[in-house]
Amino acid sequence: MSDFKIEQTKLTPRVALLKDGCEINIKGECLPEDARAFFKPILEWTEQIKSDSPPKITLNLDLPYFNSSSSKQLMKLFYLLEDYKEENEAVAIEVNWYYLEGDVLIFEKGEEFDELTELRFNIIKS
Amino acid sequence: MREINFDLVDNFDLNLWYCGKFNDSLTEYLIEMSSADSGDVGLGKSKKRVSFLMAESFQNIVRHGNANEDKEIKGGGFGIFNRNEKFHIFSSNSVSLDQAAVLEEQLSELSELDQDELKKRYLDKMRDGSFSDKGGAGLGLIEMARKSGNQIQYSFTNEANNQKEFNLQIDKALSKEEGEKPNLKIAESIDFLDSLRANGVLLLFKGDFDNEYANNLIHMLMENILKDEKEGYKMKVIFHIAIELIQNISRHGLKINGVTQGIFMLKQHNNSFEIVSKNYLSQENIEKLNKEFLILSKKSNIELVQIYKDRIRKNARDESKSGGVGLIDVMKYTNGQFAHVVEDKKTEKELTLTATVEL
Repeated sequence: MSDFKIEQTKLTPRVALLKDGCEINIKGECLPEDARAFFKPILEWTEQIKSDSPPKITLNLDLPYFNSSSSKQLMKLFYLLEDYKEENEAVAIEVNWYYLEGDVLIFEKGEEFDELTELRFNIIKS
Repeated sequence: MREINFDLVDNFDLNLWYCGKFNDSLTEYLIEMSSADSGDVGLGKSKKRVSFLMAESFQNIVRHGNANEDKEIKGGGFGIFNRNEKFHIFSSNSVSLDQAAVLEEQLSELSELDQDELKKRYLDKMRDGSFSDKGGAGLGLIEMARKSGNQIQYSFTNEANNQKEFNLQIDKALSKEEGEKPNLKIAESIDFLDSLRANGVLLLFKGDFDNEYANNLIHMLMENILKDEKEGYKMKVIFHIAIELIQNISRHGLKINGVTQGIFMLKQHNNSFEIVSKNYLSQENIEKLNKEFLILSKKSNIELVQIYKDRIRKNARDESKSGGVGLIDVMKYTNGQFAHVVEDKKTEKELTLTATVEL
């Protein structure tokens, strides 16, 4: 396993998947036309990193905007982490959901995902 | 209220109309949008020539229009439309009566000159260096006349408060055959712009919704039109709906001759925004959509949230299912003010989606 990065474009976020400390960082507007293709390597990396049995995985999501097809892909990512937690109770999984002050829409989306998953969500004003 | 003449829109492969504030960054996006290299619709190979004429036309608005303290020109209008090998670039903006007089004199003089004389006039102006503070001593106008190879169409209308509307149209044919056909008269463009304004249209785009076009449209909305801090949350909701409708055309629009033709409009009224999309749809997708609307339109917002959550949970576990949550999101954010109409067009069925967001 090695680190994996995707540079930010006009309509897609910067992605940095870091092996050390096992961090998944996604930052920026997320409006890919084909969300499944965009998230595929992120989901694959996450699936593979689980075989290293990391004691902690941190997911940092700073998405000022994302389209509805990305919602499904984000949910898939949450499920991967949820499954990992279910298999290894001792593992710590943290989701940091960032929103800009006053951005009610993204704050609400964070709350929605928090309700939809069993993961520990920190909704943080950035 | 006056109706928008969609027959005129249908007559052209690409239509991009904008009514609103003008600044330099918007210019860049509009050029990007109408000159994206994709599909058979649009400007394709003529990108460079068109970009040049568009830039000149924009600079004409920015140069001669009356800017506010944010260096923005308000109330201007811009349109580009093309079919086959011919395109038209139209602009409209307010100018002072003094400016109108100068422009009218310059344009009237230019209309008397042939290509050689235009070239000579251009070189003389360059040598002479008689540039005004606002730019180029009519250099832009000379260049437009030279590069289009056609007489510039212009008119001054709606005189009020010591201002006049300065309307300008450049017509460019890329083939001899097209060059022999009559140009669309500027009066028709002025009339069309008036109908857009009467309907509160900020932006109308008709073209191929594949790839670059749709992305450029989204990017322009993101960076320009919807950047209004005062109405932050609502603007974000409007943006969200706009993206969903634009991407809905790209994903589900019926491809005809390799092109996913569609129309996107953003309208602003006193207390609301309207986001409209039009595209062709297959019979199968129409039936699916009708069924979905029938179910969703009867639900309260609380029920919609529940359906959204159930669906996203289920679909994320099942690769065969598509998201299916975009429509629910739009329904939720518009408090049900989300209409769909299916009409029979020549050979296909056309879907119109209209989402209204109250401010």
